[in-house]
Amino acid sequence: MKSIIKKNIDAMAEAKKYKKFQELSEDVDSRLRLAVEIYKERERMCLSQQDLAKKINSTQKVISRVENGDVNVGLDLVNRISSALSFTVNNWSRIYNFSIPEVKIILGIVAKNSGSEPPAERKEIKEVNTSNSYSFNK
Amino acid sequence: MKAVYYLDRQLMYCPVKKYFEQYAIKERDTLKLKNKKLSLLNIIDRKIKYVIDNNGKPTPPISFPLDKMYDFFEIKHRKDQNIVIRIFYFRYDDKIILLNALEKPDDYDTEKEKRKISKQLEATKEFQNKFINNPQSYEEYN
Repeated sequence: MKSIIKKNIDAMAEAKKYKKFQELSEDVDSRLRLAVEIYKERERMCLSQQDLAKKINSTQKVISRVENGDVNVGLDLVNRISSALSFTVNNWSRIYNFSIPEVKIILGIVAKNSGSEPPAERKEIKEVNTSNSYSFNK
Repeated sequence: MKAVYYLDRQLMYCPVKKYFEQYAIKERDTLKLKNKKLSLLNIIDRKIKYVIDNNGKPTPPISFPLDKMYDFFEIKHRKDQNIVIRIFYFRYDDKIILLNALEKPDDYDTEKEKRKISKQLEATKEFQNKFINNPQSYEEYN
């Protein structure tokens, strides 16, 4: 039986066959991740788009477009926004999709031994996982 | 989780797929126009992917809930200076159902535009109800 459903042209599926489409994806993904980070940090700092715009001598419309991932953001604007929002290495790791190496510090106090006695047990071992914080607790 | 186009069996088409048709690449398109269409479809696709990765939850600034009258969400994209593309979707089982799409001009405040948008929102609500009654009404989003 013939289907009566009109077949739409699948513009999206057709577009995906172009090499250019694939090339764009990576850029767009990091643009979206940047947008999400800016939005989250701005919300965390309880700033409106207007407030942030004021801080960086820009306009609310610019912030809105950046947060929607609609525009390619220049380095200068990224710098101004990221310093106004005090971006940390964690923000950049999420934007550029890299992982922060896990740093494990083992603080050990080993009893000093002398003579022929075998080494004493370690008296204290603290394992501090500093991943994603970069603060070294002692 | 995957995205699918809602298929309206009365209208005999998928509203979102039909909306995308205007951006179909044609042979006669200039290189500039082709690239413009590809960029637009690409960013919409990536936003849909982002929503999939977040299990369809509205995650501002990529997707947002609508007001209390509607229990579906929207993905927004500014097409150019004065027009915003709105793609409406909702979650059903393990799927994101792309219900409808429209272009909202910035002069939304005019009565004529307000009427047009609310008519579209009502139509989207109807699509949602129809889908719930017949959850097989969809086409794959590739």
